[in-house]
Amino acid sequence: MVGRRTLSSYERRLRLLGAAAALVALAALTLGLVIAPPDALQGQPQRLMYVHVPAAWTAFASYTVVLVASVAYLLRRSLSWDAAAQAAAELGVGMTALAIVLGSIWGRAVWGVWWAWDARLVTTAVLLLIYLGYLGVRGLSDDPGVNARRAAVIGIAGFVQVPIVHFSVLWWRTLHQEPTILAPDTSPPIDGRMAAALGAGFLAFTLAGAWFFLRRLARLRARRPAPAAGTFGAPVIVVERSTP
Amino acid sequence: VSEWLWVWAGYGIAAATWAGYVAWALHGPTTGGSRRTER
Repeated sequence: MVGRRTLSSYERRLRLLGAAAALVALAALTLGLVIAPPDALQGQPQRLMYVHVPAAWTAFASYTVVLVASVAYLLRRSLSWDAAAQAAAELGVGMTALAIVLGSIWGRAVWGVWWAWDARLVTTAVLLLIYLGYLGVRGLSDDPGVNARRAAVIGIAGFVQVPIVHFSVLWWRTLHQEPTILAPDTSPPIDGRMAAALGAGFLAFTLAGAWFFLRRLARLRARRPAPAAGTFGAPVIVVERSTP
Repeated sequence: VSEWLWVWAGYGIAAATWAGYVAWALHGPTTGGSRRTER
């Protein structure tokens, strides 16, 4: 039997966060699949909204973190900020893809088509391409400072697409519905059990996303070589600041 | 096609995505351009 390892306080808190995310996810599944009633018009497939909308929200939140970390990197030139941007972008890309796939399944069930050339759908696809490109750019150079600087510029400029996606349903006449919860003038016309399922979905995705981000960030930062440059066998160079 | 089939397909894909993220967080590569500090 292996003896108990002493966990750092960071590690302990991360495990607690992971356990909380799993518990809330179970509650969200119960609310979304069992307790919430089927939609009067859309039937059962409306339950896909309890994961589709939280996935989109998690993507938006991730890209906001990419923006903040990118600005911080350009100001401080610390690769820790760059690692934060990378971890957040990895989460954002997967969540954007998930939102598109779930929306597509819902569209097939309710609209009868997998895809429509609709402003919300197209702008979201462009958002996915921007951040796929962002992740791709990170591997172009052998100089980590160059990669981080290029990524930071795209991480800041690319964020312009986020409000475009959000407001696309208001700026253009779209097939995609307008916001239900964030509607500017109307009170949420939503059943309490449906609202609870959606709220639990938001919380589950947010907690799970936070867990992924922090766990991935710890791993990316741990990868940075210890400052023992010059020692035989040790990494030759640690670039903290990129050269202009 | 049963209405529930779409629901299970969607929730299944979401669960698989998160399982992938857990695996990526725990065992994923630590490369990504700026991590390539070893020559």
